[in-house]
Amino acid sequence: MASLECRAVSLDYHLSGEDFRALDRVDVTIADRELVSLLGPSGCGKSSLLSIIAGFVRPTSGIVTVGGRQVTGPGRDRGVVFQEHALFPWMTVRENIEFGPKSAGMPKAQRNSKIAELVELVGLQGFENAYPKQLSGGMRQRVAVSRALANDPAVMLLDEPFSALDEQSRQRFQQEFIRIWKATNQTVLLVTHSIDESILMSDRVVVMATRPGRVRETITVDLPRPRDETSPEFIVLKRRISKLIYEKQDLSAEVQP
Amino acid sequence: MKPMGSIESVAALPRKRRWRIDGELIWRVGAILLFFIVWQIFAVANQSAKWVNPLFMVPPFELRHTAMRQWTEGILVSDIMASMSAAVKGYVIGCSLGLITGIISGFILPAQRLWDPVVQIFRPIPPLAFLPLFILYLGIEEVTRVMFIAYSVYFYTYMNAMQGVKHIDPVLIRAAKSLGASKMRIFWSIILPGSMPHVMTGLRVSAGMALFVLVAAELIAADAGIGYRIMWARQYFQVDTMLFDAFLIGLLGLVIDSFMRLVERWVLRWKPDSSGR
Repeated sequence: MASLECRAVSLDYHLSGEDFRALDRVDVTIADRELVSLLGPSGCGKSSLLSIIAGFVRPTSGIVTVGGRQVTGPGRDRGVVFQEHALFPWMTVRENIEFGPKSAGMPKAQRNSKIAELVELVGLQGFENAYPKQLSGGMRQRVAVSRALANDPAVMLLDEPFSALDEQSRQRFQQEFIRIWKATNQTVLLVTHSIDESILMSDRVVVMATRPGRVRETITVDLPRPRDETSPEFIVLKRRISKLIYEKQDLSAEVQP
Repeated sequence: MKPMGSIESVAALPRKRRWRIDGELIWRVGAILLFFIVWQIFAVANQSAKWVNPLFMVPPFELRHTAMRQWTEGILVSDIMASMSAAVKGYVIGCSLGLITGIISGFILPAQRLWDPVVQIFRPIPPLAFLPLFILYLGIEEVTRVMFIAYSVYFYTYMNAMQGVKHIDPVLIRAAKSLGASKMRIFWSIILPGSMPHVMTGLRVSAGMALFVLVAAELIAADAGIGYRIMWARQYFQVDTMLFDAFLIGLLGLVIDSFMRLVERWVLRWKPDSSGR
């Protein structure tokens, strides 16, 4: 069953008197426990689509359903991880993680065991009482992931969560996220502009195009994990996706499908 | 299942700066001491040389006798109590009103549209211009000074509280909403703590302002307090009292400001150092 479904989602902006179509009849379906990335150059509307799914932005037309229910606003069935972690800086790691469960009125004992479980899952033991300012970028994103997970969401939405990290932290966090995803049986939508990242992480890559933002093609990544970025299969996929994105460039001369 | 790596470390807390601050402190204290010593020498020499009327030129280290005299007479304590009582009452009233209306104006646009233009008309007018009106309405009573301080302090707290609410990162509000927070919870857990950096600045500036306008009010409309003591001393040519009480106000200001900074640092202990002090 589809965990997340976008049907003919369109979004128009009014920019200085002109209509501007950010998304044009986008269809995306994500199955239970699937990890799908939305890949595209800036301006293709991938972050707008995530905002629509998260319920922050209303689409001009089209329908988004999560677990069969239509999205009408932000809600705890969708765990969002933002680009710049968006942790509450005045709350400790523990307070950040328990924000969702506390909002839902979960009793303290239950919250405590939930926090302990998540802190162990993402490897933050000993930092429960630290403030975000005391953590490195990678650790902050781990807190952000556990904060989103604390609500047991039906689907996780990640908006370029690795882009603010340095190269080493990013590679580590990518592997760690795969492990967390497996361990929690989550359904994940990952927005990214990195072709490597999308192939490395996802079951399927939804390649988007600009003007107007739309789905160009959906590509299934059928490689065993952990994936090797230097393997021939990886490189073939990478060329194919690159070609879709930079269509008019001469990469296409070599790799004809 | 292996936990994530632990190489990434907690950012070290800045400790090195202490020595440099101590160096600064020595300079500061030294400069102030030097100033008073030069003044002392000049004033003592003046007593025989009479460049200016010795009545007007008090050697600063003589002020310790003034302090002792005021202490034994009991007016030192009673003046401080009278002044601080008005200052604290006025401060609490003004800041409470400023915080409440500022946060409401920041949070609810129609409230801001109704109230902010009115505030902006009064804000540029030096509060002292209204002191005669306060006296006319309320007389020369403590309530006059309290209300006058409350009025003067209101603007700083109001402006900063409103700015504080407006400057909260909208992503944090989105995050709270998507985590299922109710409107009330967003207000108490996000808006209120998120506005604290600005609010604390407003509260600290207001504390200095409270003392400032208190003395002005006491010079004109009081029968007790430090400002009153200065005016009283003028009638009796007690230059030492006038000087001593002026320094007393300075000292009180310093104590209040240091206290406010401590409170601020504690309230904003979560805040990254870059933009703090």
